[in-house]
Amino acid sequence: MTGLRIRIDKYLESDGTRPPLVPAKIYSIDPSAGSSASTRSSHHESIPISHRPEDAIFIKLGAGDYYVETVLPDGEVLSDSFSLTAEQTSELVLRAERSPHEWLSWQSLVGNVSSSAPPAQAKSTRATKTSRSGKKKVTQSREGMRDASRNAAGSASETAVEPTRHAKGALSFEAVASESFERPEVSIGMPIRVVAVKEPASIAIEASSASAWEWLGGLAGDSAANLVATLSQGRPTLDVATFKSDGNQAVYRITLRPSSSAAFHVSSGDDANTSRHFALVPHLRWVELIALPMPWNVIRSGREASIEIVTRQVYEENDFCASATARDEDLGPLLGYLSSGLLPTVRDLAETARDMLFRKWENPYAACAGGYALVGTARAAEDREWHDWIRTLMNRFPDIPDGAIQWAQLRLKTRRTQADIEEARTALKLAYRRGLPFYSMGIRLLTEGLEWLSRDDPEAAEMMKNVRRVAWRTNFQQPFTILRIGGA
Amino acid sequence: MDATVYSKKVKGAATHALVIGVGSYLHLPGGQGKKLPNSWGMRQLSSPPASARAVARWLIENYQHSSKALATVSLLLSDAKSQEFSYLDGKAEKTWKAPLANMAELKAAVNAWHTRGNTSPDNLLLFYFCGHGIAALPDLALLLADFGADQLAPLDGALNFRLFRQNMDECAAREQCYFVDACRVGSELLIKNAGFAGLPVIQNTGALNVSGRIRQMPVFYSTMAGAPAYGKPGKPSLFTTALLEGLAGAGCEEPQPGQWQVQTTFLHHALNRLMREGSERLAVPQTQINPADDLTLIELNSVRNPQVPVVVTCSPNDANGKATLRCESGALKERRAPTKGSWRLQLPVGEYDFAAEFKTQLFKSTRKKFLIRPAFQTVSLEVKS
Repeated sequence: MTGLRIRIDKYLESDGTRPPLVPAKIYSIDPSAGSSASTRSSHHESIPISHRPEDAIFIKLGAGDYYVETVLPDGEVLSDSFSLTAEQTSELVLRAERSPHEWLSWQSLVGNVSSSAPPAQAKSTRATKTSRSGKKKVTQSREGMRDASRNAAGSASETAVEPTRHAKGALSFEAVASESFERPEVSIGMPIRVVAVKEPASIAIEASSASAWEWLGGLAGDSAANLVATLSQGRPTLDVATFKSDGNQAVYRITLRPSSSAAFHVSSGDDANTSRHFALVPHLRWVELIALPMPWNVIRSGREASIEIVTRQVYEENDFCASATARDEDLGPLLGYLSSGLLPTVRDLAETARDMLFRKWENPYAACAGGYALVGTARAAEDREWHDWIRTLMNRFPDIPDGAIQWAQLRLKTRRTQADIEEARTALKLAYRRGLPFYSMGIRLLTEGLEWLSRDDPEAAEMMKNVRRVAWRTNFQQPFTILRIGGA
Repeated sequence: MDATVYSKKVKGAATHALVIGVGSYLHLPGGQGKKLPNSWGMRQLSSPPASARAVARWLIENYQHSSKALATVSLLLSDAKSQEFSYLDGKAEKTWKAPLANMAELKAAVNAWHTRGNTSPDNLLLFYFCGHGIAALPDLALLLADFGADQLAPLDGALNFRLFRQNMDECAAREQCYFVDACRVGSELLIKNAGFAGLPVIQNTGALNVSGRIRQMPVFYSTMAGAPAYGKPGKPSLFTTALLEGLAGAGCEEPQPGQWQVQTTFLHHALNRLMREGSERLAVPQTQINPADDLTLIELNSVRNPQVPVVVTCSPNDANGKATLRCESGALKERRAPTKGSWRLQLPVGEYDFAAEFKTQLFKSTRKKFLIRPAFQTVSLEVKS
């Protein structure tokens, strides 16, 4: 049989399950095209990410020349060409960037940590920046840039223009860099706290009439300890110890229920009154609050995947230190694509699992991610079958505000009649009252939706003000909701 | 003043572009006007006008679309040296004086751009801005030349980008692509003003969507939230250079054999690769990573002969300083003499022979064929000692 055995070589810590699959495109190169390498056809495949050769999958193909390309959840693009002869199986391994540590492999997969450069010299990741105050002297290679439009057809263009030199003889860049305090802001390796709340809206202090939005947006404090105490007040809490740490980064793994994986489970057994959990990650002067989507069920196996939080050292006062992902071999990659902004890929992944996600509702949190992508990539302003999925997400899961936000977005985007606008109004206010969405995208869309209504709706205007104050504290680089509580 | 620097009659759906580059800020330190008491660390820039000119020129001279030909390009500049803009029209060079990129001119230019887009839901609108930006996410203020003209209301000289883009949903054009090449450093000014981030220019009237289609409106940012964007003085910025390489071929997909088209999703991959590579090559203080919002698939320009950025290097890297690197395919023969560092090229799509040749005994020469296709290729020649 003629075909290809293929995998992406990247170490991923195993929870004893299948390797995750990512979409790839395989092009058949037209043999008559000569050196121009034009393609004849292309088709889509899903290929596994695994360091184990036995996890490679077999793809049946005819004899010929091919080109394969894939984009990983962290944005890395891998590609290679290969040839197949009749009745032979070839092997192809696409080598991805390595994680700095094996215990950071999932974070590396979704782009929360950078590749195998040592942490002290690591390039910026999505969640942090390493800016310096003032300018920095840099040395320049001989390769500059030439205007791309000058290239003649069929010729190569070599970029060898000497860059412009600054008056003082060193290259400089124009950028506005904020001040750095150059001191560590996070105690890496200290336990984080998980707080359980009765209803999502009552994360506010029970005695207060303020909504969760008002309360969180206005919460101030001069120390992380005070803020943690305030947020924890009167609620069941657990300290979650580090799973692994190297002094610059630390990983925590959390599940709701006891599991076979080495994760910290937070369920106390009395879950009847608990509907949501939040993790609190202390800095020197403020706290990061993470909305935990638990239990995150792996749809094919039914097991609960752990939510993995990584904290890294930061040196600027307002930098976020925490990232979160779900160690789910089926839908975990979807979270990386979501934070990359690749909505079409998220949609495609969600649609391959539509039965489990949107009919059996095996994992409503993953369904939310799919819902954002479905709404975000919608083109036709007319009713489609999947609209019912979004409405069900809103109606069936009152503890998940994201469904109502998505329904409102859909109605505002289609906006065929005034009835659509009124439905959006109802859904947005419902979402507001349900509390913090699980996804940061929900906060952005809630802000935009309420603002759209606010020109003639004073209640929406007031809600928008409160949501905006929380939005300023949100890490929009992360898929799950992570807020900065307290501080400046 | 009319900001249109290029206009061509197009039957049916068309592409209309609005390009803005703000480098000279009248009321920031170094500007010609009365200085703001607080400039929040911002100063004059020279890269944005060069970046905007490069984008406008590239669009006029190179943009081809199979069904939405380029009909207009509007350009606003704020350049301390000159407001002139030139491009090639056939063999002749045409020169225009672009209006100043202040709020009054922006309103007029946006009005015209909106009107053009509003003629058909099939139209494609392109928006490009390069200059200072300040943010309190999700709000982003793009600062114009007259930012701070009213010292009591400095943000009256800023475009509220989020609201502007949101309200553009009332324009009939159902495909709108936005490129924002600006810092998104956090700003107390926006927070102190309860999220007021400037003027939206286009207001929300609550109009219904009668087109039957949902607007596609991806936005490409040059940098992450809270991070600076880099540009070399007087030259197109890192992001703009990557964008132009993307439009020239790196962002191409091949939806039909032999037909290459820049698509927004593929352009995003290309920009990612190009920005990371550019950040490393130019040793900027901080790797510039470019996120996107609402990234959906829009087909941009078609490209007859995509140019693919290629980096050729020996493995180990040390061998580069001793290697003569060659790249050959048919009549194309390129070489680089031994030099430290990798060799950066742009090559048309195709199959090439790459070689590393050594005169020294330290390494053995090697040769290998590589297939070069978008978005970006790294050719690593493993050399043995």
